[in-house]
Amino acid sequence: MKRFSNYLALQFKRTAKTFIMVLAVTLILLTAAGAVGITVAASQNSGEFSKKVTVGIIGDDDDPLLDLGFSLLEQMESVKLIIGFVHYPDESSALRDLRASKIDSYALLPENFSDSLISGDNYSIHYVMPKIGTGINEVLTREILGVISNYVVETQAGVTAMIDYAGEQGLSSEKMNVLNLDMSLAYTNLIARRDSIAEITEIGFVSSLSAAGYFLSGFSIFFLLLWGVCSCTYMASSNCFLPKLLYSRGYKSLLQIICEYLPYLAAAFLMLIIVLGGAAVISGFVDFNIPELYYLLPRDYFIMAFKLIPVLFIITSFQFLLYELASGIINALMLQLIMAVLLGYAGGCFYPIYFFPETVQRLADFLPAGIAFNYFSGILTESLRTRDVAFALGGGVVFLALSAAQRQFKIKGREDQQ
Amino acid sequence: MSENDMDIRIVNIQKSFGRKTVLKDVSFDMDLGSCAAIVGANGSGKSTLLSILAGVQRGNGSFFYAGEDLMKNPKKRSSLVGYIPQGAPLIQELSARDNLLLWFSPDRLKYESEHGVIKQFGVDEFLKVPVRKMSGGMKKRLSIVCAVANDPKIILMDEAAAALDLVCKQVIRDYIRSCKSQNKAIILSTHDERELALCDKVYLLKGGELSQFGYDGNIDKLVEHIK
Repeated sequence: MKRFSNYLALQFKRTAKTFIMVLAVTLILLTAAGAVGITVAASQNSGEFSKKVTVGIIGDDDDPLLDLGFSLLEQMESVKLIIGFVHYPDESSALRDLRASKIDSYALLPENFSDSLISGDNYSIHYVMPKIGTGINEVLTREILGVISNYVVETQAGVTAMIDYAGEQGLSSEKMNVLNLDMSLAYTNLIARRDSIAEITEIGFVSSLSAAGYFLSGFSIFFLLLWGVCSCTYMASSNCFLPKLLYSRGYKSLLQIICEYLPYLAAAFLMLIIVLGGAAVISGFVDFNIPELYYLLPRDYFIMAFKLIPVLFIITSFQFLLYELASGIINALMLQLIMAVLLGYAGGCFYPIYFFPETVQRLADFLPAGIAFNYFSGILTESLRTRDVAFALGGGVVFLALSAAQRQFKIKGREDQQ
Repeated sequence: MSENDMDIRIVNIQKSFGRKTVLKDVSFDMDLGSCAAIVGANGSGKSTLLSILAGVQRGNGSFFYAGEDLMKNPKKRSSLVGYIPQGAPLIQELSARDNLLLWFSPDRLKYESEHGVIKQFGVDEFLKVPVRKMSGGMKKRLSIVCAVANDPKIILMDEAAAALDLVCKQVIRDYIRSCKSQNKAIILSTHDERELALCDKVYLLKGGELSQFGYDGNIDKLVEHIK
C-alpha cells in the first residue's frame, strides 16, 4: 500500500507541475477551434437553426379549401415557428426566388388537388429544392417537406370531411361559417400536436437535443478528445526503463497504470471544472442561445462537471491506452490527433450522426466518442439511460485493462527492441 | 556459514522470442564480493539475461542465492537484487529529490544524502534540479542511486557507463570497488575496458551460449572472440 501511495503521490506531483502548461495549450486550442467553428457555421449555415424554412406554394390559388388549410397551418404556433409559406402565382417566379436563396424550396400543387383528396385519388405534390448538399439546411428542408405533405393532405381531408358532415346535418351556411374555423383549428391541432412537431428530431439529433445543443455536445466531446493531444508533452513516454525498474521492485503493471492514470483523470476533471466555471461566468453576461442551457444556474455548471465524470473516464482511459500504444512523443501526438479527429467524426461531433450510413451510426454507439456523446446529451436533456452509464464506465475499465496488458507487454518485450 | 561461503548460481537460463532462441542454458556462478562481466556483440542477449535475473522478463532456469531459487521467490528477489537498466528510469518532470522519494523514505533520504549512496554518487549536489535539466551523467548517477536504494546484495548493471564522460565512469568504477569491498556481488554487461579490469570473471555471450573468457587485459583478443 505504501509503494502505491508513494508512486501515486509522485504522479500527482508530476501532473500538477505540468497542469498549467497543458491547460494553457488546451485553452488556446479550444479558442482557436471555437473561433473556426463559429466562423464556418456562420458562413455556411448562417442562422439556419433560428430562421424558418420558407416554402413557396404554387397552384390552386383560388381553391378556398386549400387556402384555408394553409392558413390553419400558418396559424399553428408550433408550425409557424419553423415553416413559412410564400404563395407564388407561377413556377418561374418561385424558381427565381429559389435560385436567389430567398426560399428553401417550393411546392407545386397539382390542379384539382383538393378535389383529388375528396375523391380519394393521390395527386402527389411536386417539391423543388436545391441539389442536396451536406448542409443541415438541406436535410432539414427535406424532412420538413415530408411533414408539410402530411399536414396538407391531412388538413385538406379533414376540412373537406367536416364541411361535408356539417352540410349533411343541415347546418345553415352562416352557422357553418362560424363553426368551420373553430372546428378546423381544433382538428388541425389534433392531427398536428406539439409532440408530432417534435418529429423534427428524426433528422438525427439525439435524444431531442436542439441543434445548438447537439453541436454543444459534439464540440465538448471533441474538446475532451483534444485533451489527449495537449497532454502529450508529459504523458508520452519514449522508453520503458522506469516501468521495468518498478516492475523489478514489485510494482505490477496494473498498479503502475492506476497510479499514472488517476492523476491524469484528475487533471482532466480540473480542466473541465475550469472550462465549465468559465462558461458559468460568461453565461451571466452572454446568452448562449442553447435551449438546454436556458435554465442552468451558475452552480449547475459545477454540478454538471461531476455528472460528466463517466464521460471523462471513458475518454481519458482511451487516451491513456493510446499513450501506452505509442512510442515516443511524436508518435503519441500523431496517434492522439488522428484518433481525436476520426472519433470526433465517426462519433458525430462535427456533423449529426444522421448523415452517416446506418452501420456507422450503430458503430458509433460503441466508440468512445459515441458513448461519451450519448452520455453527454443524456445529461443535457435529462434523459440519461442506464445503458449510457454502463457503457461509459465499462468502456473505461476495458481501456484501463488493455493499458495494463500493453504495459506488461512492453515490460516483457525484447530488450533490443526497446 | 558465513555469507562468503554462499554461492550465487545461475543455472540453465533459457529464453526464446518466437522461434529465435536468445539464451541457451546459460549457467555460471560467482561469490559475493566479486564482479562478473557479460560481454558480447550488440543484440547478443546480455540485456535480456540481466532483465531475466532482475525479474523483469520471464525466462526458464534458476537463480540461486544462499541455496534459494530467487526465480521462484519474486518478493525476496526484489529485496536482494538491484537492477540498473541501460536508460534512465526517472520521472522527467520531477526533481532528483522527488525521484529519490519513490525509493527512499524521507528519513533515509536524509541519511543517505549525508553519509550514504546519494552522497557517494554526488547526487546530493543536485537534489533540487529537475531531471529534464540534468546532463546525461547526472541522470545516470541518479538512476544508479534509485536502482540500489534497496541496498541490494546482488547488483545487475546493464551498460551503466555507456556514453558517459570520464568523471562519471570513474564514479561508477569506484562504486563497483566499494560494492566488492562491502561483500556484494555485481553482474554487469559492459563494453568498457577499465570496467572489465575490475571484474573477477568475464563471460562471453555468443549465439545464445555463455562461456567463460580468460580476459588478461588484451582487448583485441576479446574483440576477436566477440566477432
